[in-house]
Amino acid sequence: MNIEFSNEDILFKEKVKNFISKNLSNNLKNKIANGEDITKEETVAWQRALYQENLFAPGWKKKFGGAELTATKRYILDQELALADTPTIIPFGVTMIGPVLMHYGTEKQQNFFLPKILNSEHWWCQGYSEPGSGSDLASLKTKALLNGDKYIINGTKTWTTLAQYADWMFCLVRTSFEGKAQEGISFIMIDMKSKGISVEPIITLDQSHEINTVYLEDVEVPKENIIYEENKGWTVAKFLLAHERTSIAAVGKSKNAVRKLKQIANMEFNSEGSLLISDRGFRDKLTNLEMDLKALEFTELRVLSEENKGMAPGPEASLLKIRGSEIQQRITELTMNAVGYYGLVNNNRKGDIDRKNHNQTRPDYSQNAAANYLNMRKTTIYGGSNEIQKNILSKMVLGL
Amino acid sequence: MNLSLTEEQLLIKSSAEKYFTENLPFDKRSKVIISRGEDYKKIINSCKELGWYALPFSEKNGGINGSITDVMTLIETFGASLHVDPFIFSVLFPGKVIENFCNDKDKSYYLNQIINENLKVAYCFAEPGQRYNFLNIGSKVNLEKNKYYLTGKKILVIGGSEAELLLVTAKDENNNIFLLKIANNNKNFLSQNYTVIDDSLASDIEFDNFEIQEDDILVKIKYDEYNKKIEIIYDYLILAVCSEALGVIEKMYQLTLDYVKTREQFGKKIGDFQVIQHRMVDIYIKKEEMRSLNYSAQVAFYDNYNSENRAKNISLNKIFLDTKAKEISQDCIQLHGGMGVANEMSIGHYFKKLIFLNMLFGDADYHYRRYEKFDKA
Repeated sequence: MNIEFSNEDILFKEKVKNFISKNLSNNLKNKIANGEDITKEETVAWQRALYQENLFAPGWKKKFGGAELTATKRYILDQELALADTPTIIPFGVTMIGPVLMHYGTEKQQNFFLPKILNSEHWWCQGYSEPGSGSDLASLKTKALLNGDKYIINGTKTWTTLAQYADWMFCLVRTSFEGKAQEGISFIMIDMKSKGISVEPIITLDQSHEINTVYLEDVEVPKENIIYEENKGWTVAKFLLAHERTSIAAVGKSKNAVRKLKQIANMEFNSEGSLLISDRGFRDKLTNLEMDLKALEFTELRVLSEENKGMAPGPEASLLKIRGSEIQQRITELTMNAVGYYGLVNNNRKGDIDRKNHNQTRPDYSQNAAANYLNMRKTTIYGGSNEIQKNILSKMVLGL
Repeated sequence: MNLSLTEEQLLIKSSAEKYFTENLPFDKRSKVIISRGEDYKKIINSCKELGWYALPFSEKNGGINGSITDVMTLIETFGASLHVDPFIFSVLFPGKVIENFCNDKDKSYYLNQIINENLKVAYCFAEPGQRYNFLNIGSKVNLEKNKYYLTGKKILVIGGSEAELLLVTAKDENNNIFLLKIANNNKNFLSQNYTVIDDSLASDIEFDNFEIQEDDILVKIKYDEYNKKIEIIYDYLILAVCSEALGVIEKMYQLTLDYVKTREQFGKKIGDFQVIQHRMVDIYIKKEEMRSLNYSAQVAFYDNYNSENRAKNISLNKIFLDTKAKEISQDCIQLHGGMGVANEMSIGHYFKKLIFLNMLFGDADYHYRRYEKFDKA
């Protein structure tokens, strides 16, 4: 048992580091480090730079234009990108619909969509949840009626992340009301420019606009946009969810956030005038956090190690989602503790209010502490809430 | 023994609740707050007219001599209604300091101004690097050629942008503590205004060799004497913060209970699932514990002679707020699912109010240490 990297892995790590230092501007790095919003253009430019270096689709097969990297290299890539404060790769295209298309798509669908995912020409969003269908996703009501060679789609999707930027949406729709709820669902791709689609922002607690409600009113979608078969969408959705669950653990991001938290604790003081990092209470909480993060990291490595041997991630991936999301939340909570009164400012990520003012009084690292704490509440709710993940584990793994 | 509210206290509670239901329903709140226009002023004025500002102060200073329980009962309704008045910081805090530290003339003048007139005061209590330790005052007063100068930085001055008068604490090289009054329209110091996550307005203020007039020194007192007298005021303020938080938690519990009784998934109310039932019961138990601790601290306040018991009780309340009450608030968001993170719902605003109250006057770590300090066992 070892996690030593081969020479090739070490060379790869150097390559990634070089790529980052060449392509990530200081300005962008600072924005991300401080938790500020970045633009669609900045994200797309970054994804394209990664693509140029064949680092954008590390898990894709070479025949589809991916890098087909080993699980170890993917792990290295993920860690290096996260630790260097690089822009978040939008998962809906490359890690979600991409693998679905490669697994279930027709050749025509693959040829049309995959290259446009790779070069970030298409921005994707995910049309799953509905106002009445959250945890109980299978109860979804958005209706798709076949009319000749087109579906006519009516319904409402909600919590749709970054739909305001999206060119395409992959969507679960009801094509049949017969039998079990899961059996009447189809997986379909919808052009966001279609007539009858309107996107309305939902402002979240941190006052940012990340999620939306998407209204579909008599939207016409070609029959050929369906993936796999009509009424087999649940199978596709489950395949996708398993992929989402592994990437949702966010180990690299959490390691980076802990690194920053330690930096803060080395600059802030406790009430007795010692550095916060040596405060007994704070230190114990930090150590507990690191313990759980280490356990998460090695749980993920165990899954990756199996994957290296060709095993697909199974339902046990749910545990990565549960712990990964909890840890993300706890880091932002402890960061709030670390920055103290500075953390209470309502900053909504629009760049800090001080830097524009020549007299900076508040440290950069405190600017978005509250916004991050508020924003991270979503992690235990999205991607199948943690309650649903526990149901999956208890049923699929424990057999209860 | 009697741990229930009197008729009079029940009346304070019900009339305040009625006032907020009629004048500050949640759907009106963000408009009132964002504009801070006529509606806002009307609410602040009503608070005064209803006698709420007078409640915590003695009759001879223009107050109506309410008990601790009267005041805490009132403040709890502020939390439950997401009230927008920075009462704790612009009335209670400056008022209690003035009441306990000023001479009779200033006492009667300033308290009357705050309680009955329109004087808006902001108390500058927090400093960078101080980490909740209110005895650790870094702002300095220097005497040069018979003139006083103030240098120092104050952060999170709640109500700072609305106040006419700032009350500022500082220290000189002889370990004297000063309470200074400074007109907020003075241009000779830097002030940055911002909004706090609970929608309060606050300022960070920086004084750099700012000249103080002799008249502006409200109090000059030896550090040890200050230390002796200030602790009970902080305890009082922390109790006020915890009482407001209790109102917040009661409301979060109620909103979440209503939600799990109406939201349907998998063909039934989510409250029909045992895992949700147990979680709601845990919330219920914790919020009852929170009230019990609050009452325990109130009782400790009535016992004037045992300041250690009072301080310990207060710290327990604050620890509870930053640990178990925080867990309640997080659970309530979780049980609301996506609705919990949507800013248009009231639940998230209670969540934000609680974060704010959590942090004021010390987090759990600070109060673990403080409890330890006072516990002689």
